[in-house]
Amino acid sequence: MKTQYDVIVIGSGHAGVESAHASAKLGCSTLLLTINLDNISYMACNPSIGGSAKGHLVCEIDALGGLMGTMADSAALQIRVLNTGKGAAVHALRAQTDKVKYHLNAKKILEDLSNLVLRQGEVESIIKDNDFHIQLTTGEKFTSQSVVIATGTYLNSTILIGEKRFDAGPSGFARSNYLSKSLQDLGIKMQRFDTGTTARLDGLTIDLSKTTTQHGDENIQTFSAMTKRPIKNIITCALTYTNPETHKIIMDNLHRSHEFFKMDKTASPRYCPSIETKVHRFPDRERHQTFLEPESMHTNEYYMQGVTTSLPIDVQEQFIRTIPGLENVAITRPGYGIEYDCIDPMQLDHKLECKTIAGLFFAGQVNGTSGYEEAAAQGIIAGINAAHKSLAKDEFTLSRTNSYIGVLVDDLVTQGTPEPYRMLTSRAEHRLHLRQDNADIRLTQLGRGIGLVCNKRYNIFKKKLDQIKLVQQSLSQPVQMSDIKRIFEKYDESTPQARLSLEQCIRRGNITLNIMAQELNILTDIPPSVLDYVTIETKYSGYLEKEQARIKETLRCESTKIPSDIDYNAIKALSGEGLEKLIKHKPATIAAANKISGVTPADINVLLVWLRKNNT
Amino acid sequence: MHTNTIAAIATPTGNAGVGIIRLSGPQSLDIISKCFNHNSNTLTPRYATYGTLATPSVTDSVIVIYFPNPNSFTGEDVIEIHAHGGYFLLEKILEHLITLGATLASPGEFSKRAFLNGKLSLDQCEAIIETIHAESETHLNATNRIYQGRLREKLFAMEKKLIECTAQIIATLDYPEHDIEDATSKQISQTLREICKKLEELIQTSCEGRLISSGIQIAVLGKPNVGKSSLFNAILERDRSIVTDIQGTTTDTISESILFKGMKLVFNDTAGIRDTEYRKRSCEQINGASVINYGNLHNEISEIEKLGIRRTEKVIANADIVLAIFDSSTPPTDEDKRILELTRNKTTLFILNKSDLVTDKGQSKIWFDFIGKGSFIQTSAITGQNITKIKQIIHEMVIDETLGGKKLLSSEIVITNTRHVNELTLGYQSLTKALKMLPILTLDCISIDIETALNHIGNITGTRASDAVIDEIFSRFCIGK
Repeated sequence: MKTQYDVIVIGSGHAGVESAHASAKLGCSTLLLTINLDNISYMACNPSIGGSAKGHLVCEIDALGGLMGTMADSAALQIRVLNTGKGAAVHALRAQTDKVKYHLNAKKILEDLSNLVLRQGEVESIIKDNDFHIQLTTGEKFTSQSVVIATGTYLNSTILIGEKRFDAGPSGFARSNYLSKSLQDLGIKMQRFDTGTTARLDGLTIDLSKTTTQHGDENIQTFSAMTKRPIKNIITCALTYTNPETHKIIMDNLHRSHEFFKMDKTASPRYCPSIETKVHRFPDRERHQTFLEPESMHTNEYYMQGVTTSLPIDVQEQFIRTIPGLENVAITRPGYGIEYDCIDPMQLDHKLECKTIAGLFFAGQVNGTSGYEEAAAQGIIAGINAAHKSLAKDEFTLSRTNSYIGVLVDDLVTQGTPEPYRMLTSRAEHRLHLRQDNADIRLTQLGRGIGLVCNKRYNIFKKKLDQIKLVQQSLSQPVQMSDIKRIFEKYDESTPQARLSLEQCIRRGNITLNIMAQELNILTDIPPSVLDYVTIETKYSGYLEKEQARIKETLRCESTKIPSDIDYNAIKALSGEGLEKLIKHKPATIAAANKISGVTPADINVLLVWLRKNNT
Repeated sequence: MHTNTIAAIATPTGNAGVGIIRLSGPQSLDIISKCFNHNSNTLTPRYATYGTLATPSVTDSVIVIYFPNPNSFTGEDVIEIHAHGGYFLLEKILEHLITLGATLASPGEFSKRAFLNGKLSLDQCEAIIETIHAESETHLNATNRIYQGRLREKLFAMEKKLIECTAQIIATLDYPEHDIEDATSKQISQTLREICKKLEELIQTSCEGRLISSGIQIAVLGKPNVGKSSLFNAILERDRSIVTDIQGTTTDTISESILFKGMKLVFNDTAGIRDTEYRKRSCEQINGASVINYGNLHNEISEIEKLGIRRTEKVIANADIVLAIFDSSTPPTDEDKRILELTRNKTTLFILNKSDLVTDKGQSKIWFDFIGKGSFIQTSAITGQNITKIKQIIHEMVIDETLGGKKLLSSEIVITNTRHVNELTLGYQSLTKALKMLPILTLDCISIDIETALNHIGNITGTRASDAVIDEIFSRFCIGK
């Protein structure tokens, strides 16, 4: 059996799968090690992909040639566009996803991939000399030039349900007992986080008539440019609410929740607080909503969004049954809290490679993030760079100015995270430019450059560019006054006095190119997504131009490197706090220094002057 | 290389025959071509081009010199505009350049750029670091610390409101399916309007700030032989040891500064005619290595002589306080009447000089009647009577409204730092834009404008908008899957 690989990926969750896929696609012989082959791309929490900011990540992964977009499309049970009234930059796709199908699809895709070997087994140790030597608990040994650690929440994980604590991985999978220790022996600094999930319910015992039905949106776009057919909505979700009785049961049993007597100090996610935390922290709220979401067409199990809990099982059953529609519900799996080891991501650089151990990459929840999309986004970056390391190719990094992935990685490696990190639109300062509709325009050329974008995807992309050009050329054409009057009246816009060009029309309120094309019977062979793109670019042009100026400034700061051996003490004019923080954080660039709180604009100027002085 | 283009008045404040405004950065040529009557490609590098510069409020004959990068002071594309001196005119031109896309330069920014582009030598480096650092903690004196404290307090209050407002918007964007109340346009616009008003008030105090940083501008008026220069010298002579100019560039005989009780008093003589040899010298000081055709300048100076009266009017218009000097030993003349006329509507101190020569009480009465209700003081440069009092009275006129008729310094906080004024102005502009766009565009755009405003304010307070907004969201809203 083959034991020598270019790249070894440990972990087959959303990060590991993207890493292994990218690495194999780039021509590296790749081994994917996992504790259980039945947990490949397993959705251990909610059965959905996308949402605000997360949908952006999926589109970006897709634009680079990653897997998540196409897989989410093909396993989608229902799709919605969120934030439709709040502006194109924050439009976000979210799909309810068949978790069984998603897992099986991913497994098959990986199995079919040449260059990639899948192998079940628990890693006992990693030893580094010139290469990495990995030994499994079974005694098998493998060697590689680069390694990607994508172990999610499996490292030394403990499950918490009420007063019960036991060592196990998520969803009843076995945990990883040895790898965390082995990483610490390599000098990696670990921290301990916790998170949780909700109980799963038997769908046959839910009375859906007492809930509000949540339908999907028809005929909307897909995550991936490669998906040809629109997604069909084959399920509905159900909205219901907790009530004061629910809250009373929770409050009465608060002392039995692990969060209130946990033995170790761990960082819980503010981004998905447990129901007990919500009730405790917001005592004035009379109700909290929960969406009941079918998990798959292959099971009757339902997920209950918004009700993460680690209360004892009897309490879970008691409070869940106070919720309308769930009076007689049967719990199939209890909700649980999980504590796990993860690393401080500030030990990594923008390639997600460990600063002190060349060739060792980290991706996903092990870096302190939360969410499938965040994990996959890191997975593709780590996978590409691990492959490039073995192939002796240049590094591949993204910037805050071209992607949410860039923001995610930059935040992690320059700021670290005190709690599980979730992607938010508010973290992306260039968000007007970083939209779902232009993810391919921002990234596909880059993906093509490294060889991850296949011919088919590239041709679709080039066709889109041609169509955009065509549409843009037609913008200057004048529109007949009679047409303007008719269309504007129909769409409730005040009729202009003078004749307008097509471009001027779509700058007005609700008027879009899709409307104009339809009403005037023009641009008939152009897909709606292209018309949307041009409409947005036109409507936002004033803001986008300003954004470009800001992007230039960010890029300038990102490209101004600070030497790693800089002696801050020798720079006399730095402020006291600035000096201390700079020594602590060791920023690699001016952009990173600029983000450290306590480092003032004056300090940045002093640094710039000093850098200049010492470079010339 | 910097991406933005900065502009500032390069010559010291005060009235001179010529004032220079410098533009530096990639858009320099672009900006000048929008207000100068010569096409940018007809500007020969390092040659003076004479023409007309037009702004909405003023038009002036100027000389423009183009220094293409890297052969310029900063190493970037530099445009120098040599206009007729006078604070008012130069400020109007500068304002216009900023509306055309330039950014107001921070203190020391030209030098900083020059240094970053390798145009200044190493030994100048430390001095520049000091300039840049002057605004940070170690250099703050006690007064400044109070100023900083109060300013921060005000800004924190504004930040808090803006953060709450942004959090409300962002929470609904980031958690669309949670039952969070949408921020209504009405709430948002109310908050923005409120903050805009507060920012505007703060920015307006910078005009008062100018009184402190560029000094109290005092116009000295008087016909020849009223003893103006001896009085002038008497005021300055005693303080010769502390005669200073904060910019440390030049001692100008038209405009002399003294420090009195921590306040910079700038005396601007209104005489329009100057020794040309002197002027040539000061131009050399100002321009350094710039190529100037002195022949042209001589012509311009005689032009200025003709416009003496207009210049005087401008100096008075720019003055915070006018000192009108009369020879009280002789009766008022027509010229004195003209002077009295010119001081109307200005905070004026009338100086009845040569009091040592007045023996007749009737003579004094004539002058008291002439001045009417105005504040006055009787002085003698010969005996030294009341000379020191002049400064004292000026100081009181600045801080106390009962004496001057108009209190010049009124606000609790006065913004004196150019960078602060700049940040606050940019913040104000972003919020105004948000308000304007609120009915037209979606919240994703509006949130960017508010965030930009927060970042500008944060450049003074040190708050990082994005972190603060996220913290606010989680403390206020119950969200999460």
